[in-house]
Amino acid sequence: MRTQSTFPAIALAAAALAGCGGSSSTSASCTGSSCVALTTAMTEQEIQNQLATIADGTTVSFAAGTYHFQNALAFNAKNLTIQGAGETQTILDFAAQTQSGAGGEGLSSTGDNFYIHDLSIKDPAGNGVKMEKADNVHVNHVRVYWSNDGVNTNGPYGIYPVTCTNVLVENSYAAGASDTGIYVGQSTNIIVRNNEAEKNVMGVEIENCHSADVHDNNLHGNTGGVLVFTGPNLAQKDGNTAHVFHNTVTANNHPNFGYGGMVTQIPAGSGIVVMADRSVEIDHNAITGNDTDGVAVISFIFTGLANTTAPDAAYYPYPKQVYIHDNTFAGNGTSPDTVVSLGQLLNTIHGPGTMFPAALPDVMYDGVLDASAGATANPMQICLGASPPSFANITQNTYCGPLGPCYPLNPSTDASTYTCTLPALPALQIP
Amino acid sequence: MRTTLSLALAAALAACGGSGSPTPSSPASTDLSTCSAPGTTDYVSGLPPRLSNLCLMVPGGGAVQPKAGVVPYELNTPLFSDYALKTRMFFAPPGSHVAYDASAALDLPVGSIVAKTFAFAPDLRTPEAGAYLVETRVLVRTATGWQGGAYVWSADQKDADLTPGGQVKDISFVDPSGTAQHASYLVPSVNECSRCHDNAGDGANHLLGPTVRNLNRTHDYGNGPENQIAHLAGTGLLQGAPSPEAAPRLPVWNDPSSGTLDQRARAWLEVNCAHCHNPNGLGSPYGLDLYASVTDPVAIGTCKDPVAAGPGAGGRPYDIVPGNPGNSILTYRLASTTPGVAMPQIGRSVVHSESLQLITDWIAQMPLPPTLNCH
Repeated sequence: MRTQSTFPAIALAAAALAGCGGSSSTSASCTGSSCVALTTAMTEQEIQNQLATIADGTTVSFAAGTYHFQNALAFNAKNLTIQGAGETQTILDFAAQTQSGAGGEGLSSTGDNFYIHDLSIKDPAGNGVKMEKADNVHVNHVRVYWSNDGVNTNGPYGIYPVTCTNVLVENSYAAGASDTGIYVGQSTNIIVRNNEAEKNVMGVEIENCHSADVHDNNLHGNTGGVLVFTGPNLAQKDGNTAHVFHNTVTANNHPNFGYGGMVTQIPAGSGIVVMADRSVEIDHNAITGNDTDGVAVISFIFTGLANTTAPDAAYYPYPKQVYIHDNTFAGNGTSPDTVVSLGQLLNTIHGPGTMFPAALPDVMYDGVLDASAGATANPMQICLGASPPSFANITQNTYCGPLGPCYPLNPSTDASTYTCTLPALPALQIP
Repeated sequence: MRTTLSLALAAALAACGGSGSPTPSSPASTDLSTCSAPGTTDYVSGLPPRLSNLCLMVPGGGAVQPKAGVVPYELNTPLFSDYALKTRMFFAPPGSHVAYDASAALDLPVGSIVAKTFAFAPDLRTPEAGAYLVETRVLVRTATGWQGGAYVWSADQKDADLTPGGQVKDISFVDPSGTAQHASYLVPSVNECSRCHDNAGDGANHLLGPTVRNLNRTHDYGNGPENQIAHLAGTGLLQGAPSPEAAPRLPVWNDPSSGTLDQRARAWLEVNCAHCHNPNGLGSPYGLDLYASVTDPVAIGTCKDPVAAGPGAGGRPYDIVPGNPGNSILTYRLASTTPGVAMPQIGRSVVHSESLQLITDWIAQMPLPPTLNCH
């Protein structure tokens, strides 16, 4: 409903610019009346004035160069394409935003059919690029990064779709986020593939989502590689169906520099963590050199937070139907985090004189059972395939009580109960 | 640098390297001594380039006065905007009627304009000395809904230019308590209008401030104090309104005679937070509902775990820990000016210490609900 014709002078300016697209070596490639071509020769005011009034279906094209913004870039039109001249060629620099009351994101969008590609977002005060309440969002060849490593003044999320449907994040890069590099929350039908994340607290997080494929990502040097998690007291309940496969999850040993939220619970040195999610398949990942554990499957009870967190009657705090198979493990669990409380807990069973003097097993399961799930041996359906990796059930459902915490640990390495398979998850497609 | 539309256009044309393009003249101001509101006849189809074109208000002495036919109003509890001085007014087409609604904002008809003017003074303990106008935000009710835009006042304070892209302005002042402040004050872009005014999550802007509850107070229209609800009913605009005594009334956040601490804190949270933090607003993913009518303690954040707060949580465990404001995320975010931590997300770059104290006191005296267990 907001159209260029609402502001004739602006529309004319946009048309004037579009008309010269391609005639200058610094112009990005888009032409036509639905194109707004921007160059570094323009002031922020000129750019913001144009972008404030763009119509549905506009392509915004940033020519190569570095653009400095004090204010956020906020979009709410539909069918927008935001593009640069290349992921390292066009840099949207938000360092000046740290002094303004201009919001929690560098760039945000609430419109359906949003495509952003081939640009960098540098030093946003809050999140890098946020897409909210939209259908069909696509992030491709986008780099979001903060110049300072490991400081909790960096924004929480790099690439941040939330409450969206049909999400594709690919060929992108996120570094330095004080929560998660690529975070998808409360969304449905998601593919996160061929991305790289480093130096974040979590590399990739899938929280309270329905149907996500996370594959062929390179996640290294974060506090943790992947977190698949369902939390209480959120609008979208019952996080389920996450397929994490063909990822490289290497040496995610960055000290945890989170300053709030669930990721502060993640010990440095975590490969892939599943918490209180349902129907999760983890396979064909190369998981190496993560000092606390390769794969952890835990309940919300095990975090010790269930006792004090406001109860949510619709929340299921246990992991269920988790199928871990055909992964490659090497050199994980040799030096669990000593700072984060869950890491300290694991250190009670690691080291000289303990059950695990050298390394914790590749797969760590908290073993906390839903009492109402039945009296079978494996009521939560945790399966390790026909050839289980090294494994420990670290509580055997003792000592936790109804709300945690779980201490002392009571590990068992007997994987026989968990030597089972579950149906493979089908590949997702974005329509 | 002050940028006008004509400059943007000139720059655009210049960037093409074209020759012979005529340089358009600057948009003309409207003579406020002769026009009558609304001066521009086609404003419903698009905001005019100059505020004077709307013929709503006359500037002078760092303030604005409504033209005849434009109705000034005040609110019991306002949105905080970096201590800016605010003047509010609206125009409704003559003969308009608005049906009384106890909870929603006035449903002003197509053709209406609501305007809020923001001013500062060097020392807000003496706001009449050296006051100057910064911006006027308008919402125009068109056939397709409310369209927003901000006008930035010129250095000579005679008129204001439409600035669809917004601006960040450095403004230094002494606040009402005597503390020197430096604001990175945000003039919102058109899209940023929707960050707050799309409070229903339907992709459209809505009025936020002028609800009957927030309007139910006195204002001096020139003949002594008069209740605004009674005045609007008396002019025939507001139809079916009960007497002001029978109508709901939002407390004045900083007037203890207007409500209990709990009522005033909830009023402040509603006005400053609930446009995002409600089940349909932009903040809906995070599970809070901060309208004053909400009774579920978890919905207002009691013992509620943070979702996506990251550093915004400040290492604190829950949004509100009853009896312990120092362990509550809410006070941490109100006390911060760091983007991404500070709440509200946009439009506040300095700490409002007076409302922070209100919320701190409120949490400090809050009893732990029997169903909850955080501390």
